[in-house]
Amino acid sequence: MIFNSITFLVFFILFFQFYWLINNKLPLFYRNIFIILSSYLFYGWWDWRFLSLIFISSLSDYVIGLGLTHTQKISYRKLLLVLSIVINLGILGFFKYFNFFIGSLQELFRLFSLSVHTTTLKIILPVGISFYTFQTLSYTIDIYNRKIEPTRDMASFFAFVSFFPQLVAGPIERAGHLLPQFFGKKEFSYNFCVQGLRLILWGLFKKIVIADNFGILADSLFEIHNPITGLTTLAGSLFFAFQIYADFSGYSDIAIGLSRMLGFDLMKNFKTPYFSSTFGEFWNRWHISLSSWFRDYLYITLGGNRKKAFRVNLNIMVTFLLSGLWHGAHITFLIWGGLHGLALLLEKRLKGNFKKISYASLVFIVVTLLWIPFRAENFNHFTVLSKSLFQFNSYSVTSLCQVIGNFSVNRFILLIFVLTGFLGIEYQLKSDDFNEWVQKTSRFTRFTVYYVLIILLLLLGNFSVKPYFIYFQF
Amino acid sequence: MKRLYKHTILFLLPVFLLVIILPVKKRLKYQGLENDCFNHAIWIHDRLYQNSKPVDIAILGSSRTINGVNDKLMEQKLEKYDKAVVNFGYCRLGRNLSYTLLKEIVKTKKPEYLVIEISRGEDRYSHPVFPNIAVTFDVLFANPFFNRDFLSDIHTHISYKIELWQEFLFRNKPEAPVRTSDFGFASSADTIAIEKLEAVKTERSKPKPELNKLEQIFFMSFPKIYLKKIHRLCRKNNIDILFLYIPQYGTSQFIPNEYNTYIRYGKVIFPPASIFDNPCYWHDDEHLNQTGANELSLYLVNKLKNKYLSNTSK
Repeated sequence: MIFNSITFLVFFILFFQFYWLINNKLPLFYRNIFIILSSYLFYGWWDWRFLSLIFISSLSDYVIGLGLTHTQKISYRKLLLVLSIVINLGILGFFKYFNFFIGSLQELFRLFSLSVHTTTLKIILPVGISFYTFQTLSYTIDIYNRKIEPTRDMASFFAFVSFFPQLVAGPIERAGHLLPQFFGKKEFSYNFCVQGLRLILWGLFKKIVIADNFGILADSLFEIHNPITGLTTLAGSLFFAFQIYADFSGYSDIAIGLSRMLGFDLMKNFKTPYFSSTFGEFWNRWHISLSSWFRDYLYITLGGNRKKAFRVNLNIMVTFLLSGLWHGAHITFLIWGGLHGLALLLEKRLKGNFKKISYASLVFIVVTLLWIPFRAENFNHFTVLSKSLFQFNSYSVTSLCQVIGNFSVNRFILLIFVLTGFLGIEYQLKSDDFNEWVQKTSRFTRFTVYYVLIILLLLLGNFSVKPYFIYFQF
Repeated sequence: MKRLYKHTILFLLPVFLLVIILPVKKRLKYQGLENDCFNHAIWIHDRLYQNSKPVDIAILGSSRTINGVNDKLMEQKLEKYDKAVVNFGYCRLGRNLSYTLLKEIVKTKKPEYLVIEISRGEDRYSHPVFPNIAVTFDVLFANPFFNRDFLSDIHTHISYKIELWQEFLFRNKPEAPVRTSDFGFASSADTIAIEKLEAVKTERSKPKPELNKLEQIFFMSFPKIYLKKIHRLCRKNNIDILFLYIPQYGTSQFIPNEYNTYIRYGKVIFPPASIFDNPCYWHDDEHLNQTGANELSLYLVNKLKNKYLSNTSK
């Protein structure tokens, strides 16, 4: 069940109606049970067998959380924390990384001319596993660090882990922020709902108009069988940059909007990252919930920047490599993470030598180019794409023109106009969010914006393709 | 909450109305299905709207009809009666498509007979291309009860309309050339291996759990509603309905579950089992081959001659 599908629309309309009815008429416990059941239905729509994973993850962390309060003994507390990490990362590791590690092991042995007989398993990756695993893991780590108190309210905790608006692609919430919101009754607010609907509209526009259209172009340009030239690779990475940003931030906006309609407040996940003036700023603005997770639970745990220079640099690299690996069990994600880590390290040394505006442009160019390993199908594809950038004699426009021609020149021109407008609005949103920005305008402007967004959805939306979000695969 | 609902509906109403009234050229709707059912949809359109030749006997059904009824042969054999026979079969099942196509047929031609394919059971779901071809009114006011596909059909209809508009605005795609053929029959001369057929027959002859009364009402209401609509439309236009039994291989001995409904609306024709039981007449376990189709068509011709057309020869 995907946000931009008719099934989800029906699901949410029914859910919304019953949610407020139960919230207003019955004790809190029933509302949370209703959230759990509906969220399990939402998740089980992909594959009901994976419900057991989310259940195990929730139950183990609930019990471990309680266990952590019952003892002050450090060794026992540590043991419980390790148990939580082993269970959560064990599930994640098995489903996401088992084949990757076996494959890598085989490659390693092959390097030394040794052959080993290993078996890879046919494992289906449960959708959103990386998101909810990290969310529940943060709960036990925060209890261990005595940042939060564990809850005895099982229904609230299970609802916190499985809350469907952010279950499969975040934002990865912290228990300290989201969990207490399940403890109290909600007051229906018309304004809150309108804010939610605005964010949903904005998210759908990003997803359907920007992401899906640039996705078609990027897919055609990165098609392995097409002739790959430097220009197609550059254009492909630029189009993919717009696609992935609009896809993921669009999803986050819809998730935040849906939650707001239910009276919940989710954290912001993106703050116009492509307008960042440094790499450091980029990571404070891109996938904030994951970046801050890695910062708080990995980088700082490793010592952060309180150590000597070499160790700090190592901490940065380890954090970025693991953040790359979080995205998927492919060497290309490791390269992506590693290169971002290197960029950050270089920035620390060289930043002072650039003017602000030229450095911001450089950041955007590098970030865009680094989408190449992220988007590449495999390592070989990545090498082909990278090589093409340096074959200056092959910078022909033919392939690019062909791809745009197949897409439709008129549609492409309109898309570029829309993108310009979109980036203009995004620049305004550097300090505000879409809601705040819209609220500042006159009623006439506000409604014009809504209807223009809807007309663009109708004009440029690709409704015949199967709804899909890039980050579901992570 | 009422205020929220009211304002949301009022806000979306103009958009909804815009999409509803958005006119789409009929031929584009059929042309848009070019990757489906051997591009048969555009031929159906052109046979009705671009070909002035009349249609006296219209045949509706699934791919079993496309493969099983040789309209050209039938027309030749009925030359004496001056009857134009057209096979309007379209791949896959779903009674609502038969109704939609019949509406188009009566709008443009004046058929005397409508031959409708039937088999062991009625399909309980909406035809996959119904929302693409049907007019907005028929999609929006299709029976929402007992109709699993009601909402998805509305969604498909609206998105298909938008897609056609986008095609029109951005692509300037040339219109497909007019299909000039008079006949819709398409079949293969190949014959399936007997062993494969026998295996299928064994499987199909196993008793299947029958629907109980409640299930019967629940699942069969949807196709029955459309059969009723077809009947009403035919009665209004003086068209006789003939239900033609075209089973899968290995099921020729079964009486259709909805037999009582069919006899209420028209005549039921059971071709001899010798046609359907002959393994040499099958292209695969669902479709007759050319030889089988010719046999079935000749039988149908004789039936029509003897029973229905005897007083109308030229």
